[in-house]
Amino acid sequence: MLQITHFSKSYGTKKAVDDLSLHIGKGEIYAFIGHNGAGKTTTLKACIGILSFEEGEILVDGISVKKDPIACKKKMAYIPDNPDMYEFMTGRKYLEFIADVFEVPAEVRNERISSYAKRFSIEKALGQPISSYSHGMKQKLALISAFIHTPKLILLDEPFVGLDPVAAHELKEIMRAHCEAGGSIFFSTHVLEVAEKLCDKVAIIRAGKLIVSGTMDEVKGDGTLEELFLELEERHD
Amino acid sequence: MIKTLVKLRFTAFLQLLTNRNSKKGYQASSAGASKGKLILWLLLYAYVAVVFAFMFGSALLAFSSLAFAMNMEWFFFSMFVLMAFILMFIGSVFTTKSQLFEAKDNDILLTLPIRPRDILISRMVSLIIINFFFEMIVAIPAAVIWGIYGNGGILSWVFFAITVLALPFFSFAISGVFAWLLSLLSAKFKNSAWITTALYLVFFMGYFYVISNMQEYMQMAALSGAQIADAFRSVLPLYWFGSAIGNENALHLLLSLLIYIIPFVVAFAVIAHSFMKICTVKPSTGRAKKERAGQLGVKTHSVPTALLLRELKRLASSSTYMLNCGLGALLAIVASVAMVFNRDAISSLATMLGDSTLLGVILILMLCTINATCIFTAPSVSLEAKQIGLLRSLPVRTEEILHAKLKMHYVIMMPTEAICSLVLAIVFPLPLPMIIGLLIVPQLFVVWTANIGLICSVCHPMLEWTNEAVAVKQGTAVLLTMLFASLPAIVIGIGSIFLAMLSPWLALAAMVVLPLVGDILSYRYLMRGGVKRFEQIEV
Repeated sequence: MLQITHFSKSYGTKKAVDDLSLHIGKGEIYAFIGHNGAGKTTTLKACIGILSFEEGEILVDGISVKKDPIACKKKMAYIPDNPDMYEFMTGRKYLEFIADVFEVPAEVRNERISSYAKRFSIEKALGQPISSYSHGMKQKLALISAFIHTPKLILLDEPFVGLDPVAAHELKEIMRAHCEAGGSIFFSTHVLEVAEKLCDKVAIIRAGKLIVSGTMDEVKGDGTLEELFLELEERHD
Repeated sequence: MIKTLVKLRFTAFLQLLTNRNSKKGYQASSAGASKGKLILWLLLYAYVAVVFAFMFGSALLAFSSLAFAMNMEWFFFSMFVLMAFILMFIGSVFTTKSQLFEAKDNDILLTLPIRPRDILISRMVSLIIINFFFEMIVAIPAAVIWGIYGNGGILSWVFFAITVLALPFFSFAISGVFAWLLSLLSAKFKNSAWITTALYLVFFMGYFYVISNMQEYMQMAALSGAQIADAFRSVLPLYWFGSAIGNENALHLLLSLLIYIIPFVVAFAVIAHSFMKICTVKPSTGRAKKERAGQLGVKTHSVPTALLLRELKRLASSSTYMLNCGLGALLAIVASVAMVFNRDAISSLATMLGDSTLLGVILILMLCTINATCIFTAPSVSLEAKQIGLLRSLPVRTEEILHAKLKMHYVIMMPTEAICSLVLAIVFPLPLPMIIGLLIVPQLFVVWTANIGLICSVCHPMLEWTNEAVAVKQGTAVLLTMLFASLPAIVIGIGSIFLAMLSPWLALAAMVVLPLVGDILSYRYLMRGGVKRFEQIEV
């Protein structure tokens, strides 16, 4: 579903990501782990096509992000680490805008909005302007906007930040259901316990370079993901 | 701490002018380019200040000859205080609202260990300095006139200086309370942008009424100066203000200072009391629509319509955006309606001009110039701010995004210009080529203004503003758009006046062909270079 091959991105003279290659298959939940500034967000932004890059190739469902970004975006949803939405809209208007852009038919969008809003407990807030939302509510709204058009691939940057425990639990359920239905999820996180329990595969990045990747069991072995992560960090210091 | 905060405000202002520290946008300007931009802006501000200084200076000069001849120097200074106050109030009232209560960094500053009162004071100091600069536009010509024609002693100069220093506090007090009331209203009502816009329009119309009748007031003053002076004398504070300087009256100076300072202290107390509350209140949510599953009227839109509606909602959500970029459209409609009601007077004016072709060219030029003041597309990329990443992550082509921005301009300006054209074509006895021109040329200029505004916007985005008024009013894109939108209209208009002497059809051809070529070329650039530029904006 997502094929990243020899991807590199520099900001001036600083190499943010260096020769990264990953493959996220159909129905997989893939965790992307690394310290702050490791290159996770840069990679996610390049995958969604909002960041140009010099080297490498990124394919979404076989289509090049560089060559046909629109076709790729139609298959994806992206939630940034800080959900900036149109604060001049109400929650519902925002979801309708996203549904319009992704051409979600009228008959299904209302059902999906109602269903997800209920699961994330924000149905009463949908009529309110987004400017009145808390960070957590904005995060919930952003997540609904991602799931509303049932994308094949969802890219999430720190999706659990700001969510209450109930919403975090709901999100995990929804992520799992999405992948069971054939979708894929590639997400960055610092919550290693969640990654360990939820994900099929994991990649650890450090200073722009991929250190390790593979299935969760292969990567962590007999220990925990946290132990492995700390060990790798120490080894590279 | 206050000094640091004031410095922060002015640094932010200067950096926005030079666009130096912008991480977003294409690249940070070089030091040389930044200096150049700063000098350009300062020259522009200086030019506007000089124009206004001449305007107020000539009005004060008229009063001075009257006042000095009647030995009523106080009358001259009363007029100075009145004019300076009006300019300061009008110039700063809406800036006061946005700087005090709507600055984006309020949230950050309030989380720091800084007393809210210090934040308020730092903003007030900045605003009082701005008021002081406005005051100088009137004070400098007043001082020059007093120096040349007046016969005041050293004490009058000292009292004049004290008044000049104290008056901005009074102006701030009034504009501060006005801004405070507006913010309270905004916090109460859901459609605060429309309420602010309506209030501003009422305010603006009143101001416009006074300005448009200024000549009449001046003539009245010249004819019946003694009566007006008597009227001023009966309004005691006004008399004290002038008498303090003109008559070198220390008691009146003291009374004037009390009048300047007491409202300031009261305003400070009132605003300080609710500053935190107003800054931290979330925009009023009004009554939320009842959300019941299965009972919602779902409206679906095509992608272009959804993008257009998004642009229109953005516009409708901001009184600053609506007023600064759309006031010309409203004035054009008002002017057209006024022309219908004053048809007889206009007909006689047309007869006086004699040449109806010339009149036609002037009317077309007028509509095109009004159109140049409506620049909805110019700040539209800057206003995307942080959300530009969201827009770019959607599966829509950049061309569609830019088309939506252009369409927003078209759907507002094309009907507006069409109404004005029709009214003018009906009211004025014009030859056929000029009627055709009146209907077509303004529409071509609508397209030109939209195109050139968007080109400037994608080439000079300003995404890191702390107050949207900065993006709407002070961006390089806005300045360049106003220049490039009005200049061709004036050049083509003047050229067409000469061509009209040869043939009205020739003038029509020039007025249609040149903007049409401009529209095509600017559109082609927008869909190629403009698209590339938009895609290069770093998120």
